[in-house]
Amino acid sequence: MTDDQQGRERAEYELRALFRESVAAVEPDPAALGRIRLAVPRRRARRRHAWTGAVAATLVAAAAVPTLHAVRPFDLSGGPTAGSADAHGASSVPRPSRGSPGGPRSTPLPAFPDGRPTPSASGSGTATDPGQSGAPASAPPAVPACLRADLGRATAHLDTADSAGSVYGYFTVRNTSARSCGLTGPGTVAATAGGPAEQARIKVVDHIAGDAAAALPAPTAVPLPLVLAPGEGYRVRFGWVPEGTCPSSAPRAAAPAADSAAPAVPGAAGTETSPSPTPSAVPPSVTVAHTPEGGVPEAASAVITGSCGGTVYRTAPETVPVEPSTAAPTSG
Amino acid sequence: MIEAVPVVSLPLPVRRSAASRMGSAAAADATGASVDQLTETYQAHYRSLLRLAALLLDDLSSCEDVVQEAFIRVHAARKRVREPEKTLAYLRQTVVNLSRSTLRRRILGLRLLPKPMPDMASAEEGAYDALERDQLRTALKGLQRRQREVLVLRYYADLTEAQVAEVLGVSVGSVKAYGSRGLATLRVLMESSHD
Repeated sequence: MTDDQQGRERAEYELRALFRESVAAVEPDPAALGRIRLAVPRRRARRRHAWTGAVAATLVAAAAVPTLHAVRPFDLSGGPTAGSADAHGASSVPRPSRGSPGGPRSTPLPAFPDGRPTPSASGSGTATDPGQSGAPASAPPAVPACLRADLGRATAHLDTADSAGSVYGYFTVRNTSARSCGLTGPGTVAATAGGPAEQARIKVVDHIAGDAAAALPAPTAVPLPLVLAPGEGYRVRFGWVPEGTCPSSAPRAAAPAADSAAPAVPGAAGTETSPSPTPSAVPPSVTVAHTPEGGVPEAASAVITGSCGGTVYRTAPETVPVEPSTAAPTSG
Repeated sequence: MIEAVPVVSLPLPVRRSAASRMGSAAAADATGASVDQLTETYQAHYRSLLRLAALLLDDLSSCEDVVQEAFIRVHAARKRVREPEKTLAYLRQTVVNLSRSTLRRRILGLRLLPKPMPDMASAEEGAYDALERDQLRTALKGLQRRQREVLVLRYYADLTEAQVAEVLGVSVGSVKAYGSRGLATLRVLMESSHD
C-alpha cells in the first residue's frame, strides 16, 4: 500500500520534472514587455468605446477616416503646448499601419484603426508622404536594441501651467552612441510626491484619446523598436492634471527641474525625497521622472509644484531629429 | 463547437473619468498601480506562462502571441488588474483559452505584433530544434485537447484538480477522468517513441 503510494509519488515527481525540462529552453522575447505596455492602453481605449455603445459611431468613424485623410484634417500635431521643437516631432512618428512599406507590423486591429478616436493625429502622419526623405520611420528591425548606456543627453521640459492648473511637458532622451539602435520599450514615467503632496493621490497612466490631458497629442500606435540613429532621440510627453486641493493651499507654479543631463548622475534620485531643508515652507510638489527602457538610472525629471494630487498622463515615445547638442532645454 | 470563453466578452468595469473623479485613495491606488503592476506581473509570470503555452500549443511560434495577448486582455480590464491575487489565475485561464486553436487563429488573424520568431530561431537554432523534437511535446500532440490541458495544468502549472476544473470549466470528476486517461495515453506514446 505505502510502496504503491510512494511509487506513485515518485512517478508524479518525475512527470513534473519532465514537463519542466521539456520547455526549459523557452525564453521570453525581450521586446515582449514593451509591446504589451503599448498595446494595453490601446485596448483600454477600444474597450471603453465598445462599452459606451459606440458601435455605430465606430462604423461612421471608420468610414470617415479615409475621407478625412484625403481632405487633410485639422492638424493638432503641433498643439498649443507642443513647443518649438515639435515641427518634426509628431509627424515623424512612423505610422504603423498600412503606410509603412515593409515595416515589421502587419495590420492593426480591425474596426478601430490606430489612434482612431480622434483622426487628427494620424491625419498629419498620412498627409505628409509616409516614405518621406531619410526619416528612419520604417527601418528594418535589424538594428541592435538600444542599451541603457546608449541613451543619454536627457532633458526635461515643462510648460507653464494652464488656467486649469494642468502642466504639460516632455522628456527627450537621445541616442548618444555611435550606432543606430532600436528602442524596444517606452520606458517608465514615475511621479513622486514631495512636501505635503500625497503619494496616494498621485497616479501615472498612459494617455488615451479623450482623457483629461486634452492638450497631449492623440495617441498613435508606435511600432517598436523605434529606430534611433546616432544623435536622434525620442520624446515622451506628459500632462499633469491636478485634482483636489492641498490641506494648506499654496500658489500654483511650475518649475522645470535642472535636468540631469548625464544619465549616470544619481543626483536626480535625490529629488525624490523632498529636497528642501526647510520643512515648514516646503511647497507641495510632484517630481515626474522618466527612466528609459533598460532600467535605472532615471534619465530626467521635472518638478511640478502647487498641487497635492492628480494624474500624470504619459504618451508613447516619438522620434526627435538630430539637433546640435544644447544641454539645456529652453522654450522658444 | 466553441466553448463559452469568458475573456472575450468582458465589459470594461470602470471608466477612468469616474475613478479619478472619486479621488479616493483606494481608487487612485487601483488605477495608478496598473502600469507598474504590469511590469511586476510580467516579471513574475511571463516566462512560466510562455512555457505553459509551449506545452499547450503545437506550434511554438504562436506562444509569444498567445501570452502577450493574454497580458493585454487581462491588463486592459481594470477590474482584473485590481485583484492582484487573481491576476495569475486570469492570465492562466486566458492562455488556456487562447491556446485552443479556434481562438488562436482569430488572434493570429488580428496579429498586432511583429513576429519575433525568425530572429529567435536563427539565434537559437539548436534550442529551437531541440524543443521541436522534445519527446514529451511530441507525445502531447497525440492527446485529446482536454487531456492535454489537464495534464499540463496539473503537472506543469502544479494546479490541484479543483483548480484545473475551475480553469477549464468542467467538474472535478471530469478532470480526474481526463487526467487518468491522458496519463495512460501519454505513457503509451512516450514508450512507443522510445523504441
